[in-house]
Amino acid sequence: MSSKRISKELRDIERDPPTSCSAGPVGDDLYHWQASIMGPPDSPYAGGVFFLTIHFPTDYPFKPPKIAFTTKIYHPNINANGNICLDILKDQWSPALTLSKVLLSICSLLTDANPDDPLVPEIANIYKTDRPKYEATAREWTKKYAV
Amino acid sequence: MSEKSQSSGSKGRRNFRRTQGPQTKSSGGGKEQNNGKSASRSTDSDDEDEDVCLICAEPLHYVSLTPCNHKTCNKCAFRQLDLYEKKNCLICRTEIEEVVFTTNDIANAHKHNYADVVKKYKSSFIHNKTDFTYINFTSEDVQKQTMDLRKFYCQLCPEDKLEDFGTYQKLHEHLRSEHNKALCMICATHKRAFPSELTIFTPNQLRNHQSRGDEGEGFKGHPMCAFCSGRRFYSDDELYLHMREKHEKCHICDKIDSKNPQYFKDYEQLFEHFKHYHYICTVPSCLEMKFVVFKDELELQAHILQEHGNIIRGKPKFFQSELSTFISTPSRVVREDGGHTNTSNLSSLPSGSSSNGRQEEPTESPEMKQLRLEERAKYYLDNSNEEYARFLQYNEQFDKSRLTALNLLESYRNLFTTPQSDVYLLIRNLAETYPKNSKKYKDLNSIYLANEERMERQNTNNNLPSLSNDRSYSVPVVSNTWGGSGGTTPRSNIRNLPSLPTSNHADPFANPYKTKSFKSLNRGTASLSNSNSSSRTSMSSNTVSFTQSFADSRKPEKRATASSYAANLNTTSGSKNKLAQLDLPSLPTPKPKVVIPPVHKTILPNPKGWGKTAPSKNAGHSNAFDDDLQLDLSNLSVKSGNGKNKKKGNQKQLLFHIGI
Repeated sequence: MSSKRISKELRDIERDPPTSCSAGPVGDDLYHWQASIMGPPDSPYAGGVFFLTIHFPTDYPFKPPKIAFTTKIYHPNINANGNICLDILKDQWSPALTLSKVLLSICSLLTDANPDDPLVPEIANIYKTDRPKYEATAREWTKKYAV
Repeated sequence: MSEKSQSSGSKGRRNFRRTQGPQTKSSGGGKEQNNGKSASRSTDSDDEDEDVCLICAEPLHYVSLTPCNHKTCNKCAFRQLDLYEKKNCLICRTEIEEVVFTTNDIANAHKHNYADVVKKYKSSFIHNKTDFTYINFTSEDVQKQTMDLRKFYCQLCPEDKLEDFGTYQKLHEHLRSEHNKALCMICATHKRAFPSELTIFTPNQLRNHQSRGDEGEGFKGHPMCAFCSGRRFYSDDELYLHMREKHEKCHICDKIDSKNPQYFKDYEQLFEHFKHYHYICTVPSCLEMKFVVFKDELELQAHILQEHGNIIRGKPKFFQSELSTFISTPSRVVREDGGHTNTSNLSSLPSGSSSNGRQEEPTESPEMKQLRLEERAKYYLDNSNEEYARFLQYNEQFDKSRLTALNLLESYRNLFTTPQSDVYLLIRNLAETYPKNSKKYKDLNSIYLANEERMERQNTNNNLPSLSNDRSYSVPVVSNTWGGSGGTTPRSNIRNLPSLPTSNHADPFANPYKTKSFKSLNRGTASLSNSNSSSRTSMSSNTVSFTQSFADSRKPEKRATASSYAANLNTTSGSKNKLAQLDLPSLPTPKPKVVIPPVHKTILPNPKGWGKTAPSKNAGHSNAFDDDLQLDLSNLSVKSGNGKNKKKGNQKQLLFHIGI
């Protein structure tokens, strides 16, 4: 049921790859993908290459894909397990969204964190009160884990 | 439309994705390449966006058209309305009051314009009598095709004997008694699929389906709750909800390693676990409250001191929970000298510092390292296949030792010309694909490290070293400015200035803006020096001048630029103004797309070393533009450390050499 749609997304991504991310199936399981996101140049994640793992549910696209970072990243909306707190991955999901659009949203989440809806309150707190410290740590983690 | 050649990109050429997977399936044999620009497709290709549903990618026949002029197939639209019970447009989420179900041809003929279709077909609209009365069907066919989706027909019975069983339960019973087949009732109740979409299993297949899932469907079986005698759930989400509601999770284990949640049947079992593996507060009120448990002794002690201080009174460090004398993680337990232990100290320790922690460094698999290199290269090359092929060629030549590491760097530089490129990161990623003790790794890594060092030095050069050689002046600098709790002044942020990502081809001194500001600073220094000697104000003035050359061979101006820096710090409020003159904090984050060099990152030296010594004094008389005078600031910190006890005055300027 959902395989046609996922195949189509794969074709579209191959045909017109997004500039700062890429994605494709792991092995021959169409429902399990891997993606990479380039740290946005205007963020403390610049220079980093971040990997994500993606699982499409059988009910895709009526249910959102499950996406998590596999590369460690210091971000108020991404926890130590790589889980991402992003509304379009939960209640704001729309079947018309594509993985490519979701990846772009994650890119922009890297540039503009959402500290008011944090997944890691400690980081959100630092983000709000001491931005340079947040940036320094994010940069340090990027260099350590994503370069 | 189907045969028309579309400029659909060059699927064939873009074969750099990891897997081609399913695309071979869909684009059978009718594909051929026309200069890689367009590909003519087979007639039944579902590749053209026009003819497939945006949601399910199935070819469109019967469609739904919303007042917001969005078209999907009738199945997806009806799934949303009926099974998901959402009266929203699938495409734009707009709430809909009514909707038209028609054929794709009609929708196309009216260019998906809802109002036009309504205008033309309003008189012939067909409506259901009871359910979904807001759906305007343009024909009985559309209506039947759509409403039949809800019918519980047995697919194994012959077409002329179709019976609507009305519920999944009845259909399931029919299948079992008449055909010895079964439905997965977990799917039936949770999948939000129309009856005809559910697979019919033999009993054996059903077991496999539930325990292991279906091949190629992205379904790995219905997960089971280990505590509820084989009860299965539709997906991990449902199981998770169940676990959260009916069972207990150890929140301490979760903190330590959230990837492996530990569940227990009920609180009793969880309590047993607490007793054996964590630190329980045994004060009755806490036992009653439940979940008062800590991951180490330290936190427990903090809790006891905070909550039960009146009970203990004694020496806190000797207090231990009766239950927690075993199994501890010694590394996490901090024992301090008696008097120093106090609650505020302790309570500040937990969570923030460790929970989120830097545990051991995750090591990436070689495949991931390789992938990181490839993805980076593609990104730097803007997904150009041609150039990516060259990149692979260079790597192969390097691998076969036909290129030295330095040759490779040079080749990279010529290849990677986009603004986002950082060849040194590529070099590093490539290094990581070789074993750590191999020569290739060392060669590549040394290039990367040398660059890192160079960037580091550039950072240092932009620092404003405190060069006070008069300790009576410098002390206040330390206490007032750096050592103190001056967190309120803007300057306290200076040392947190981000260390900016490095870009390589930049000439740090090419920016006239900076040069100017330093020049003006020099003047300020001179005048300060005067006032300093005459009127023992609380100012101390220090300057360093130096030149720097860059080994970056690509830069024609590599040795041409020199700049003199002067740093000047006061002990008192005046220093704020001086710092303001320096324009320190406003350093731009270098965006790779901008040609501005990244040099202007300022990392001030370790505040603790600030003002402790004077590596040089009043270097204003030295010739700042003499190429032969070169200063290696990497030695500066050493000097400042050693120079702590040096006599003031009479120190010569330090001259160092920079370069690789």
